[in-house]
Amino acid sequence: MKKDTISVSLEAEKLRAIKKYMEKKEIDVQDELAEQLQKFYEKHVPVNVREYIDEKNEEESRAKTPRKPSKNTVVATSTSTQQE
Amino acid sequence: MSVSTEKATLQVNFQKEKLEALRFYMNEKDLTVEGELQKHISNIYEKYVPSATRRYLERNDNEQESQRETTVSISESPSDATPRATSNRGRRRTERVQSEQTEVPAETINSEEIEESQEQTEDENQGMVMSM
Repeated sequence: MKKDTISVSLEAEKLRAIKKYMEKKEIDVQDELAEQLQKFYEKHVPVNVREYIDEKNEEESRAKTPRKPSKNTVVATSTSTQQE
Repeated sequence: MSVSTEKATLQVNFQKEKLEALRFYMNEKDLTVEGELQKHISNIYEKYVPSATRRYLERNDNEQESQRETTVSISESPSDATPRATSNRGRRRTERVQSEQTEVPAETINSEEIEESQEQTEDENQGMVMSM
């Protein structure tokens, strides 16, 4: 899956303060923003489109990692041919 | 007074195709991902950073705003017609109230006069009857 980067700029002093106070509550700013992006995605992108993208991603990931046939399956097929 | 505000950049990774879809549907609503994230960051800032710290960090902004306000008020000073108008209104109102107050006794006087004149006519009538 290809990743893209979104950049948001703000005052350095304010960012420092946000990081400091969020660290105290053991929250990471970047994680928080990523979570928010996911919420935006779920809010604005229709369900059908999301499903389509998810399925497409699954197919791509399957295609990238082809399954190697295991020994058991080979045996099973061979036995079935013998029966015939 | 020039205040330098050092900028920092926050970067967030998101799946490319999902981001494309998000941008597409947000564009339809005249929104941008960056803009919405910016809003969210300002919400985070208000949520996690205590108000005292925020006031301290925004001291420069406030100075700039106050400078702007003073310049605006100086530029607006020749056209002070609006507050005068309101004061005139006040005057008008007070004048009205005063006139009403002065009118009320006049009405009472008139009614008293009428009563007196009615009594006089009654007395005259009685006199007439007596004479008859």
